[in-house]
Amino acid sequence: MIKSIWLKEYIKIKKILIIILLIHIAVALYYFITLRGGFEMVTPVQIWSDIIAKNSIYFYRYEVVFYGTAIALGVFQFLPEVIKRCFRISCHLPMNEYLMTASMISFSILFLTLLLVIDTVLIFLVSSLFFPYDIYSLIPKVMFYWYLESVLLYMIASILTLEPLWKNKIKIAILIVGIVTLINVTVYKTDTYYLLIIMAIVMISLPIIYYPAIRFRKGVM
Amino acid sequence: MCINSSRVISIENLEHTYGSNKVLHGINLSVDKGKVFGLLGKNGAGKTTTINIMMGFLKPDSGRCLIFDENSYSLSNSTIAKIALLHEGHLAYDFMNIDETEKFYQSFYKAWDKDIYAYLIKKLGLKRSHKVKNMSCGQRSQVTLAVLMAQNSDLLILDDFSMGLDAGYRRLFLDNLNDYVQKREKTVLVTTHIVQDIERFIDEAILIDKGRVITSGKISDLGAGLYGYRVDLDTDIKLLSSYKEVKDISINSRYYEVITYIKPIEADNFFDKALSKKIYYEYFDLTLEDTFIALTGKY
Repeated sequence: MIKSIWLKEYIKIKKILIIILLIHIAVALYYFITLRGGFEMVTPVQIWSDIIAKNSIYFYRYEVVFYGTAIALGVFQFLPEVIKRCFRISCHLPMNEYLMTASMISFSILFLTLLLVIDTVLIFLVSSLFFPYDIYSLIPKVMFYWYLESVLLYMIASILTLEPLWKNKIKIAILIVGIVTLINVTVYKTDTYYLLIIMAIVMISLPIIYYPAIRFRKGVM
Repeated sequence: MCINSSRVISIENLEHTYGSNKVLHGINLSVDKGKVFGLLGKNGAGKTTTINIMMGFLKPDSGRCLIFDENSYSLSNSTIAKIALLHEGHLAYDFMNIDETEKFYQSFYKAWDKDIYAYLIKKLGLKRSHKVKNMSCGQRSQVTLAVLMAQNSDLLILDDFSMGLDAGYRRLFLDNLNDYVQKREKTVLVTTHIVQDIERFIDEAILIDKGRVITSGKISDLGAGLYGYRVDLDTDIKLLSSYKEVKDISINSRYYEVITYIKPIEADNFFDKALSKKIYYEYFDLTLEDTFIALTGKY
């Protein structure tokens, strides 16, 4: 049954998934081309020193790509369910509604996880061509932080899309903006302490999807 | 609680309010196994609210709604599997094609009937890779009906099956369904506001208006006490509308149709007295639609 829900989600947003995948690969290519061009003009030591001195994350564009991906997934996955009232059909399936909703969100979280792995491997490979290990060793940790934030953003987008009442949408949005502002304090986002906080917030946010989902099933629409 | 094994749906004193708008005022109905039951009413009568309560999408303010002896608000998965639900507007996963739709539903229903799905889809004459979103309303209704029938559930609930369908597709839908229901002894609850289609399909019905039961019973008994008379167009019958015994006056290209509680044996006296003159009229048998209009009004 879970596999069937995953299959349904895949069919529903297949085109979006392909577009997202292509964007992520394009960003990796962009970094490869940009870095190669940069290293042709300036000596490697200069670039390395610059990165270390500024503590900069040269693959920072992935952050925006991850966040955009998360929001797109939440919106495109749940908007048809709400606008075309397909969620009603899903709610009448002989399957526990909590499991059905969990299956839907787990599909996108798994996709985000797949992207994390692909992106990390790609940027790791590209970086290994141009940088010493000390510089690019932080990639998994930073990427993982962005991944956690993107899961959180995906949950937010899903909850706001699925929530049937505008009054509640606004209330949830205010609450979420507060939480996100609170956690978005560090620039480099590699501190383990912050990783633990964001992990905790992601875990807490997961069951919130049941608030609009179960009300959809049990009667405000 | 009295358990009646032949009772599939049992609703008692169902009441529901949206905000300050009370939409159900103590609805009672029961549907026994193997019956085809009509829940009839105009738009806004409370049909969909009743269905939503039956399917657990709404919790009623008061009253009781049992489906297969289970409270409708907390139906178990095994009971949900026994109910094939046609959502209002022939809701379907329109991003799927015909084949994907079957594969998806098949995994949820153990008794899935591939043959009947294939039979109805073949009638459509479309490729199995045809997307639901690229179908007309009528074609979509055939797919949703195929999904409904293939589930092989004991109870079929059809919420406004006629929505968006032309006369041909409505007839086709009912012909297919009728054949299926008769052969397999399924229980059906159908709601609609286009009553002329289902007159020959349903056994019993309840007629509701503004959330209240107007009448209920066997289809042949719904219009009991009502009589129809045709009167020539050149007769002035304006005065009749002020009589409470007159439930409806309709006009067509050839005559007026007057529906009243006046028995044929008393009709002469009534028309003479009401119009202060002798008029020519003839009695006619009421259709379900005539009864429906007479009892719920045109507005």
